[in-house]
Amino acid sequence: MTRLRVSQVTLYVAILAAWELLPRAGIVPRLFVPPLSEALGALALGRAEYLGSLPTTFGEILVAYAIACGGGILAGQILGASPAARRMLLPLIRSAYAVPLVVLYPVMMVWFGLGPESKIAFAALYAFIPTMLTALAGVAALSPALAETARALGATRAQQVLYIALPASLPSSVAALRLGGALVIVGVIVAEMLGAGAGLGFLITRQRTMLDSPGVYAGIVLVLAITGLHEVLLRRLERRVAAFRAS
Amino acid sequence: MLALDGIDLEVPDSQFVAVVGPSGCGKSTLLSIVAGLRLPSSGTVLCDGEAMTAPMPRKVGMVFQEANLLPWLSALDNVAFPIKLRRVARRERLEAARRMLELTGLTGAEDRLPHQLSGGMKQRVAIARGLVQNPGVLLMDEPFASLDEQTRMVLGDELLRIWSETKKTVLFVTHSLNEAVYLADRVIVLSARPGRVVDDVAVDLPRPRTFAMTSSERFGILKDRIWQHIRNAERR
Repeated sequence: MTRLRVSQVTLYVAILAAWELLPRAGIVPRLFVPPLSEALGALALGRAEYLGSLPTTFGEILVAYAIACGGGILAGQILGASPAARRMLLPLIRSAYAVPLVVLYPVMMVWFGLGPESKIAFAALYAFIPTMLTALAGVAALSPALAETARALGATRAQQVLYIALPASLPSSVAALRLGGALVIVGVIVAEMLGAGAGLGFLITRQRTMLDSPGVYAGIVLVLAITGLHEVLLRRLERRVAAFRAS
Repeated sequence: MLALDGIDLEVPDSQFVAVVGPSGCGKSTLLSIVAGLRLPSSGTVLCDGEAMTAPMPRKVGMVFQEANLLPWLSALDNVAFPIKLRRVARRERLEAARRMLELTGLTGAEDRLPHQLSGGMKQRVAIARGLVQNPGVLLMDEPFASLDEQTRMVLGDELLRIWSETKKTVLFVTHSLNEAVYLADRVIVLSARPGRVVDDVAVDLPRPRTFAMTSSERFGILKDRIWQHIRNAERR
């Protein structure tokens, strides 16, 4: 193991140890943060319910992810390719970005009900603009020299998009996926916490109203696991893109 | 703003023509008009009697100051890229690209990505890419300007070798008077903006050119004649 790796592992172990020991020593009140072992105990005890909530949450995340990232990256590409559309729409989009979209969630519940639809709609909307702006930044950073070279080599407009713009924007698309994915997870969990009848966020809120701290943290452990999984998948994708070669 | 004015130039087959002039005189603009990348506000460019109103990569190859290789493609795939655009079958285009890499002295570097190549090797790949469609004309826009002195000299000799093997017509824009006189049959001198042809110098040094010629009297006279024009233009 490299020294860096050793220090990283030591850091993780230290955080977990602090989580376990500080509440036990009474330095942190147990109601605020219960020891790690109690959170894991609550998770093991209520595993049927916690694991049962995952399909709902995962489903919402996947659909919102597809809408936000697919749509966001596509919109970023289109805006990137069209200066006229960019000039017209970008000021509007930037101001919309500044609105705390969570104020719209009650409206979404009215429109889409208490089920997964309102969570999907909220999370997709929440992640859409940042995803699009990230993708757009990558397209805008495309070197004009490469485009001109392709033109001199006789590339048609379609070929310029296919062989130059798309591969050149692949890394920024992955960056957009990373940001969009993280925001979709936040959006779904927050929406579930604010008003739902199922899902991980709903469980966390329910345990909180019952002052069941270990139960709340059991849910948090699962949320951490989901974001960790997303991170691992994205890293793999990034490695693929770094070695990306069209032929 | 007028960049070029009254340019009337005829280049016979297989001639190596260098274009020099003070900075900002429109040398690069001239080249991109010849390439069909830009349209002139008036006048025409003819190549084999056909008007160049759009890039015609099969007739005119182009090499830029920066190699502008696609960073995600290997050297071989970069060279094959122009014929891929024309949907030449994969085997055929890789074979053509391999021949061009051999011509430019890059055998063994086929699979390297651009970031694994030195500046000089990148320009060799760019030259190979410019030649892969076997165009009659090769346009070069200060292709060696971002290379160090030694690499530039080596690549100059390499270019002359490739030129004598392939008999292309070359239009070579450069800042370097040495390079212009050393490489070309003929040096076109442009004035300051708007660029006009102020001199058309026939370089009567024998071929093959050698490094020793760069210190010959004749070389000095030719260079001096061009320098006078440029200095006058820069003064104004």
